[in-house]
Parts: sequence; structure tokens; C-alpha cells
Amino acid sequence: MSTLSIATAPGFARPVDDAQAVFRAVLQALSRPGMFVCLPALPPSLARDEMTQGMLALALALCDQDSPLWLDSAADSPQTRHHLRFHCASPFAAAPEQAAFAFISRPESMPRLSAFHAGRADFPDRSATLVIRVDCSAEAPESEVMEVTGPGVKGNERGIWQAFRLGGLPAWFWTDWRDNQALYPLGVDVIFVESANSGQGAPSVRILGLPRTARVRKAVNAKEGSLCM
Amino acid sequence: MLQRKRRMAALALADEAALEEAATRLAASFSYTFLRRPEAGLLMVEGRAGNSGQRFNLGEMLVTRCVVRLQQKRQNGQDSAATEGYSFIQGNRPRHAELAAVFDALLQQEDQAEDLERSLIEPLAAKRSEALQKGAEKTATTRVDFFTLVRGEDA
Repeated sequence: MSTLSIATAPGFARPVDDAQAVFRAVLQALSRPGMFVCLPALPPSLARDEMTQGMLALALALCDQDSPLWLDSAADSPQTRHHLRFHCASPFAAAPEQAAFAFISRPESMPRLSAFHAGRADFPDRSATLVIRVDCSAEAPESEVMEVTGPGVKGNERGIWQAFRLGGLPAWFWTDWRDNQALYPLGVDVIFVESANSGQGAPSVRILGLPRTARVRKAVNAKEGSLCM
Repeated sequence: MLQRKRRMAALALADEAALEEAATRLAASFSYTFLRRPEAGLLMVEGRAGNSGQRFNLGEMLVTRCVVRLQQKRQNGQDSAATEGYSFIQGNRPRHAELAAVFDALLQQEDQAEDLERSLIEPLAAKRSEALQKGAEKTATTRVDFFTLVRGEDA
């Protein structure tokens, strides 16, 4: 009898509405680089929390049978794979460069950005999207205030930069980001997902988008911002 | 045919009212949650030319699918191990999909399987083959044999 040994958890409570709301939040995050956006809906968490609720929400909203997934070794487990296969029907990529979406739970040991697919000149939109779990608390170790400018940053044409702070990224990350940004119109896009719940009471998870057009530097004196209610 | 496949087919082709009745009878003995609520959508049905040649898309078909996780309540207050039930039902029939998934899960609970096989699956299968038989008989009465003259061109 084919009883599955690995338990599956439910996905979104309202699959269509919740997935659309999360998709809208992702659009908002990628069109306002450097601003935190709250995820409006979260699926139940899995027993192992390396793949956080926020990462699961993005997976359920974005992935389908045409988008190969790559999970880093921390996020990867038979249970997670079964869960994503069940709800998204996505195939799994053997290597980072074959993935349409990469879910990275331990950024400190993630592959370099150049390891992911940056798209091709005729199809720049087929590049990978990286979902990276970060620590956004102010006291996060090694968190450095960075600032971003580019399309979507208010006042970018007047040289205004938007500040943000992310913790837990590897030392090479922003150097690699500069190389990635220089590839435009090719290059990967990144969605950072907060690892902890930020608010008391109702759980809420914030995301921050960095499209390949975003230029990032160490902060000089810009203000941090959030679109969260 | 595989046992589970045969059972799932019987549940999918069953009358919704019959499933409802059986579920009401057993309702006190189990509880379930949805892993995937009943959802209707189009499924592409594929065929093969000559049954073994090139694949082609035959057409789309409306299907409702549902997945539940079910546990039986035991006398001693402990629940049985959970089983997962799946269903795919033709048309937009959310309640039918839910019931079929519940019974698929129940049939995987070892102490229930034989009882249910006898009390539910066998009657459903019998009813179905009777209906098919009736249909075939009705059709057979309208049968016409055509005789044509061979004109010899094909020879």
C-alpha cells in the first residue's frame, strides 16, 4: 500500500487569494528596491524550520511545473522536497545554474552569484530568482547599513539613495552584486526574506527586493524605509 | 488492475449520494483535514496515435481534485496513524471529490479496508457494471447491420 512515509502539510489556507496577495507583495518589493514589504499571507510552517514560512510562501506563490527549484543544503530535505513537489509540482535542479528559483537558507555558505543562471541575450527574463533568508534585526551580527539606487527608488534621478540593513550575508556578496548589476539586462534578481517574525501577535514576515537594475553601495547617510503597515 | 486504482476508480464513478450516505454512517469514527481543498481545473487528456505512436493532445477535461489527511478515532482514545487520500473526479464536483478522497484514505487504514471493500466498493462496482450492462443492452436493440456491395475497386 502506497502510504507516503513523509507527511505533507497543507499549503495556503486560501490557495488562490493568498498566492495572488503574496505575488502582489513580490511585485511591490521588486519595484521598490530597498523597501521592506510585508507578506500578506503565510502557509503553515513545516516541522523543520530551515525553510521558513516566508520562503514557503514565496515558493507556493511563484513556482510551478515549469520552474526548476534549487535548495541549498540547509533548506533541502526529503520533507521539503515532497512538500514543494506536492503543492507546486516543480522539478528540482541538480545544480544552481539550472534553477529558475533558488531558495537559500544559509547565505553564509551560498554559491557565488555567478553560479546562477543570468539569462541569455535573447531571453534575459529566463534568469534565476534567488530567495535568500536574512536576519533583519538591528543587532544582527555583521549587518551593515547599505544603500540602493536605481529604477523604483524614489528620487533616484536626483541621486537619492535608499538605505537598508540586512544581516548574515557573506562578505563577498556586495562585490558579486556589483558584477551582477553590470551584466544588465542579464543578471539574477534577489528577494530577501526575513527569518524571524518581526511583530508581536499576528505573525508577519517582511521581504526586500533587489532587481538586477539596483545599484548598491555602503551607506553614507541615507534613511531606511519600510512599506509595512 | 491494482487494488488502489480499482478502488479509486469505483469511488470516482460512484453516485455522490451513495458516498454521502456511507460517510454519514461512519462520520463518528474518523476525522480529517485538507491538504488540498477541492479545486476544479482543466486537465489535458493525451492520446497516442494508434495507441502506440506519437502523443497528441486529445482535449481538455474539467476535473475536481482533492487531498485529505485522515485519522481514525480508536476506542482507547488514541488516534490511528494518518493516511492520505487522493481523488480526481470528472466535472466540477467539490463534495464528491472530498468524499472520494476521504474514502481513499479510509481504505488505506488497515483495519477498515476489508469492511469498506465489502460494504462500499463492491456494491458500487456492481451498480456500475449493471448500469453499463443496461446501457449496452439498450444499445444492442437498436443495432443495424449494413450490407454493402463490394464494387471490386479495392481488390
